[in-house]
Amino acid sequence: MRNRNERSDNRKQTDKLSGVIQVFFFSAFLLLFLKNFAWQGLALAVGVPLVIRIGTSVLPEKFHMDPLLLSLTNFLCGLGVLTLYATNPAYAYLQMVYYGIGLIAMIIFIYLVRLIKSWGFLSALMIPASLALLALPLVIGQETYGAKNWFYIGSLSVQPSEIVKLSMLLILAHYMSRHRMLPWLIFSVGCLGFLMLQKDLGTALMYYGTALMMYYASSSNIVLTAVGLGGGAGAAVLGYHMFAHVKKRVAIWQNPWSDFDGSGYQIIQSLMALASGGLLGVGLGLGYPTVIPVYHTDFIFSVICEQFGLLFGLCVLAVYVAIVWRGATIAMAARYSFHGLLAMGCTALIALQTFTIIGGVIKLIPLTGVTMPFVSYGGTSLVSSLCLMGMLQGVASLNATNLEDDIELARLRRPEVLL
Amino acid sequence: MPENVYEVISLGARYWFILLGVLLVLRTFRWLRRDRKATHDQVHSTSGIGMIGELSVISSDGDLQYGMTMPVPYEGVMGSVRTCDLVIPDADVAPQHCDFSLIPGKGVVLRPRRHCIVYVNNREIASARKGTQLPLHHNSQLQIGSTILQLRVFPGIDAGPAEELPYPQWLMQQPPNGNQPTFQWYTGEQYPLYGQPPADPQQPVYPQQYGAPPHYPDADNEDIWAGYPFTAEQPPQQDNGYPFDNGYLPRNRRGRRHDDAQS
Repeated sequence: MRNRNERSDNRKQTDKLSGVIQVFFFSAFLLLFLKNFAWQGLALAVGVPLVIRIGTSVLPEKFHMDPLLLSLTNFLCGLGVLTLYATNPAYAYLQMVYYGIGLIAMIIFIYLVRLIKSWGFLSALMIPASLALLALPLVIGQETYGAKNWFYIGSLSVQPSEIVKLSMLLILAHYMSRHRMLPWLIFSVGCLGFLMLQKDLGTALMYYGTALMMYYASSSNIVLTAVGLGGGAGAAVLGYHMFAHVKKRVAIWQNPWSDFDGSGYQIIQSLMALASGGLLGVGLGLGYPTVIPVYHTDFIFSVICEQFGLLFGLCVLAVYVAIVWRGATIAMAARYSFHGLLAMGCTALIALQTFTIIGGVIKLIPLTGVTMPFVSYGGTSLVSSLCLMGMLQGVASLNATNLEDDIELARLRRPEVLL
Repeated sequence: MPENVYEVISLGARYWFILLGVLLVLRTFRWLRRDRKATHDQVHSTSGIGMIGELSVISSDGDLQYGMTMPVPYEGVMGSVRTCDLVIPDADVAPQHCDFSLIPGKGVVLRPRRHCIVYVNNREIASARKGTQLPLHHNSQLQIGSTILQLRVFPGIDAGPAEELPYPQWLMQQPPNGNQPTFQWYTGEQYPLYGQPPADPQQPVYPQQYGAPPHYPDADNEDIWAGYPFTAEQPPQQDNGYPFDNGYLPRNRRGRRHDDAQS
């Protein structure tokens, strides 16, 4: 009876939240349809809310998903599609395809986390495979924006660091839960070494931060964590002196106006977009968001703030905070430390990635080339973010199953049952 | 649509989008808060959630008192610092002494940390690397530092076959007003593990008569112990400094008995 009540309560909450999301996307796509009366806009105005409605009502029941996390993920992915449609519809259509693939990958990861009981063999297998994958761009990769972190298979571009971050979480969670320091330490150092060689310092920062957070969560050792933080700061200083493009980025961060037409152009355009948007925005479909370089990936937050305003940008940030809050709750409720650490790692990675890119876009920290989780355009990025969410959802569903079992067992222990 | 008309509609729609954004955030945080409260209520109204049983203190040189119980989660760390899942405040217990996890059907497997030793039913488990696996079952006795604990597994939890007690089970599990086994930590009742003394004070019966370990209250009272017949078959062994030697003598975390250190 209690479970039934809980389910109906959850259902009500889901309906309320997804109702707001559906109304938002319906009105936003309808507005864009009114701009040029393109049938795609009308199709999206009907299709996106419908997909969200079906998704949030069917998927949590069928695949043991957490409805709140699913609703928030849907909102962010939908916001990505909306922003891309408002700026360049071709990207939006592709993003929808990636979203569909990502949803399937998310469901697969939920089942992987639920069904695989022992990750020992798989973790040992994943270490050399991940390192080899990460080393591949150094051999056959192409340099983009100063970093050599992509390679191409035909017309398909692949960023291995986005795939390896999933295996990294599984490997770290497995070995840290067993208190075996050497394997994960060697793996982490290997990953960071390859990322430094690729000059992909943003991803290296995320990997390092996530590993450090997971280490603290697994050991509670504040001294070694502080030593790790110090080591990270030392490595950052070393990276600054070793790589010319890092020096350049720091210089631009300090004063972008020194080279306003060259290397500082990106950040200046981003700041101008934020300023022109103001608190309320210039209006959906208005303004000049395409002036910002890479507006569809790294600077998509600037586009959102320009079109919808800073207040709405704060709401988007709050959604990320809610995801992190939920993730931390899931991690703390996990029965086994592997699952707890996995959930904590996923949460930390999403939080760090969001902080790194939004901090870079608003000139809080030097800009690094990472994508905004769930929102930015990009197949590898979106699918890997949804896989992360799948792992988090897997742990959440295990927690729900365990709680139901525990309640049943607790009922058996009640004195009136015993006597 | 003419651009100026669209501009007017779009400018008006900004307020609508912000309103929806704020509504979304409010509903999300309301849901988070409600879930947190619901989980809190559920956990507190249903004792034993996430626990497999309890460890009751048989004896300790540390701060733990005889008869105290602590709930045991499915997996965790045992040690003397606050951050451990099972805190054993004992000078001979390392800050993080050993990891434990329930393997269904097998029992609670212990993995001592480096240089740490635990004893299960008086058999040593020195390190996980050595491959010694003596899982704890229902009624198993565990010695960590100078503290001796006994595991009692909740019904419905598959922790392998239960072990025989070195003393009559009915004495251990008899509550003051019932005949069925129950759990102190769960019910919150306080009663001695080894039975109640008789109501007639003129007829003293000491708990050690039932095989209670030496740290039972009043164990140090020499008047009680003087010439007391423990059992006809097994007289007390006075030479090791303890009136009743059941093999579970306090040891430090490197496995040495306190007696050895003194000698």
